[in-house]
Amino acid sequence: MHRPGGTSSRRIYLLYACFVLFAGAVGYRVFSFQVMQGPALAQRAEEFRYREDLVPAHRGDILDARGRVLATDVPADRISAIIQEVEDPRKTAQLLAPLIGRSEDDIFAALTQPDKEWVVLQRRLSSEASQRIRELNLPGIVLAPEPRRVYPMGSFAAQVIGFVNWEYAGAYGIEAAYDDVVGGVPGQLIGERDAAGNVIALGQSVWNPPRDGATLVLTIDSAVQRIAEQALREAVEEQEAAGGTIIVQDPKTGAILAMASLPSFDPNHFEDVEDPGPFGNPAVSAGYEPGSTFKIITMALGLDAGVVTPGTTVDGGAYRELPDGTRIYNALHQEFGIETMTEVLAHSSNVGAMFVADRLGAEAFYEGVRRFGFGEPTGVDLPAESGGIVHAPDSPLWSLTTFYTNAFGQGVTVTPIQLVNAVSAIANGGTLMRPYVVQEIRDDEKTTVTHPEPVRRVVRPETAKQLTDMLVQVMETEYRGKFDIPGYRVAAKTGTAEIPSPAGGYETGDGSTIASVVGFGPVEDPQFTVLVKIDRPKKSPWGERAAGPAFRKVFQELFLLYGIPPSQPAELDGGS
Amino acid sequence: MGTVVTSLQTHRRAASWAAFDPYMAITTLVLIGFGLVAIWSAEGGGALRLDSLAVRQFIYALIGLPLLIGLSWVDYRYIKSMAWPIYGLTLALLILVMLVGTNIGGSVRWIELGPITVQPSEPAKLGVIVALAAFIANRGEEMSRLKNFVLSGLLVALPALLVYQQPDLGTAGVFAAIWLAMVLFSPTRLLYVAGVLLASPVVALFAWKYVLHDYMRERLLISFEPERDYFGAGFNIIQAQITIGTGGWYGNGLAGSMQSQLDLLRVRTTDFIFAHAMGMFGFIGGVALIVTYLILLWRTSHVVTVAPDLFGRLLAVGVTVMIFFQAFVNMGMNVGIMPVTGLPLPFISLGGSSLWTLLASLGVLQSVLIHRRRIGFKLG
Repeated sequence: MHRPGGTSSRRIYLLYACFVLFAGAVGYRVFSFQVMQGPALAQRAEEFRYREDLVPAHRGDILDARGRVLATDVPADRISAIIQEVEDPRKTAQLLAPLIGRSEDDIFAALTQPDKEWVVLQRRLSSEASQRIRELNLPGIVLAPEPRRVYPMGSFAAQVIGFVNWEYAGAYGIEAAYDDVVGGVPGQLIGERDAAGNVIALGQSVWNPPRDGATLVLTIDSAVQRIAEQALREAVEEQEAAGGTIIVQDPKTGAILAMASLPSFDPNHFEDVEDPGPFGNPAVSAGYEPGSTFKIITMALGLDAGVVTPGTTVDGGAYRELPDGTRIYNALHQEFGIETMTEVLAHSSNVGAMFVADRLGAEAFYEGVRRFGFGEPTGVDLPAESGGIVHAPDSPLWSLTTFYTNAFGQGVTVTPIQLVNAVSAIANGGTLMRPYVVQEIRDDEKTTVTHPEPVRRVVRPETAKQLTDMLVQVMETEYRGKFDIPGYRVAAKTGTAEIPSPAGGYETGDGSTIASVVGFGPVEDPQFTVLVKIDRPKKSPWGERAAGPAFRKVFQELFLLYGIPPSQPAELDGGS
Repeated sequence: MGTVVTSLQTHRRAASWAAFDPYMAITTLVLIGFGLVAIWSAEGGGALRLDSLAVRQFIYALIGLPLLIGLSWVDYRYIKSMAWPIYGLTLALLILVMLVGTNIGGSVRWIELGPITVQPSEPAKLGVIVALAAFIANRGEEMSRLKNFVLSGLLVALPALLVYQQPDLGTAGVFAAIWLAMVLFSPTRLLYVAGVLLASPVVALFAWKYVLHDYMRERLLISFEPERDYFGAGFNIIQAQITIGTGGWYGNGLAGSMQSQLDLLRVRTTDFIFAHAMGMFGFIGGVALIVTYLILLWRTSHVVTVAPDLFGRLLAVGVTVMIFFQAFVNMGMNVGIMPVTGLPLPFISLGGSSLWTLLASLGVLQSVLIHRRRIGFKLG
């Protein structure tokens, strides 16, 4: 046997070549990772080292002024699937379908999606359902606690309270405005972790515990709110109206006792609402032309400036003709003859209101309108408040027509909250208050009470007194037997406003007005300012007819609820 | 029977311990030592106890080294005479594992024997090398006949299929590499080998389409594109690369990288011990390890060139390729250039079956060196 070394020694080089090739390849890769990409990979290593978990905070309750729960948290779960780990999608879907309220095929489709690792199957499961799912012990099915927000009274005060969205953040209403306060601060757990994602007990870690949300106590009194909602619903139904708003305010403090709007929704099922329109709160965000209720403001400014007194008379005819020939008429082109200022309010005379504005002059008029808070948000603690629109003489959109129509509440846009708040200033003797809805914030450490906040004095007390008397007279003469409240002295003014048409001018026909009444009482010691606003009433376009009955009903029930004695007991018998 | 007696007497006459290759032995000990440190670190360091993995591996080495010395002492020609019983035993063990094996992680590769588990596919590598070397040496120039070439392939294909169905694609690959290299060094026609090489892409394509299971294909793809299954099979590959990356030039020291300490890098005492070691020792350590392997491969290749007969030469080729293939496929999968299979890093990964097989293989090569001068003495 000889050594056939020749062949072997040549072929051995093939082996050597392989060795060098592979050693070079591995060596290059190691060099690439360790030297070239070293810093980048070290960075990635750090990312794996620490993990930050957010631990949700408990969201605070929302209570009404009487302590009734309007919003609270209940424990619930979210069910998800780690698709890869689900062993039998068909069986899993079959078992889950009756428990999570989705069809078997629907779940099966979700569990068999390609290119997905994770799918949320259902949220806000009741604890009974999640307990039963837990007992099934299905591979790949994961339950995670996810508290659920519950509004025990359903659509009650829905626009004021708002709701929390799927991310458990406040959307709309108090839930949004006070999200930081009521939502608390999620806790933060930063820890070194292992591959399973668990924080290593002895590793470096930072634990900032969650701060639970505070409990909010509203100024909204559920009894008053109930009265307002009921009266509003009746009026809207009776008038086949598009909607409406009732606000009840304490004129002395500015606290909102009730704020109801239609159409409404149930915040427990916000996801079922197709048109998100009702989510907003029209009481603070929907501007409208107030019409004659605004004459209260014009008259207050005239009286306060001393350019008119309640007895000042005007003989204006049916219209006022402007220098450019424009004629601005009374409603229905009526002619009232010689009117006192009180009669101007009683007749709701546009000519009379223009007379007052004319005597004031544009500058004093607009200064006064702004003083009353129009043209800017009131600062109420609700989200998405609008400021309304007031075109002053410095605006290119202003003209003399604007000025004179503004005098009787057309061509000017206000929000319900602005108007109610301005009228409250008359009721309380001349001080504009900042309206508010949250009266108390209670957290673990302390209770913060909202103090009533005067914004500014808008008219002298005597002016407020004079105007109140005039409005009471109007109520006791013009509206007597219509929507006055027998035995009680209430100041009020109606308004029938036309709705600007997008095409220019104003809408005509059925349901083309906003009918409203604003007033306060009892005038001896005003406790409530009430605005009833009915949008597009179909049965009667007039404030007195469409909004008046609701206004009366609200006051009657408020007086009953608060046990306020009548001021003229004798008239109870003779009252019509 | 007569053959046996003859052979036993032969080794007594011819053993020349001066021919024992100390470099081969030293690099082996260096690699085992490197592995012991890496295993100790991968397990989290700390005091050594009897049940520590590093201690267990040390015991495996203590058992394996006498095996090496003993096999060096036995004349490799005697092993040749035992080739068929060895081949039969190999097949029997592989069939046994199929019947009574333990399923670990979806594969049936192990037989439980009380406290220890043995992996018959490890000694099967050496068994196949011995059997194939004997087959080719016995055929000699006859290997140029296609029939013998095909038979040599079937000889390897049988155990390879048994291993493949476990399933263990990696070890089946080791068999294929061993066969290819050994027939290349046999007196067969290069045409056959060239034919196999030319056909292999077609076979590979066919296997990819019709033989491999979906999960196997996915695993192979994930090996090169771990982001495909970030939180699944790809996760450890990504962690391995991060671990290697954190090693930098000089490594993180004996504690290893944070990925190992946080248990983000899994199977770091076996399949992914290379990544763990790179986290410990950095690029300098990586170069040292690769160079150590190259020295060892150079020494085993040296046996190819000095072996006195075809059988010895083929044994050396088979063992060299076995070590080389496993080492570089393992390191390659750690660095994302080779598919992830369960192949151990020779001498370093935890595991007695692998270590004993390797030490026995080196014993056989030392035997070739020690006993190669017999003819020379007789003639001289």
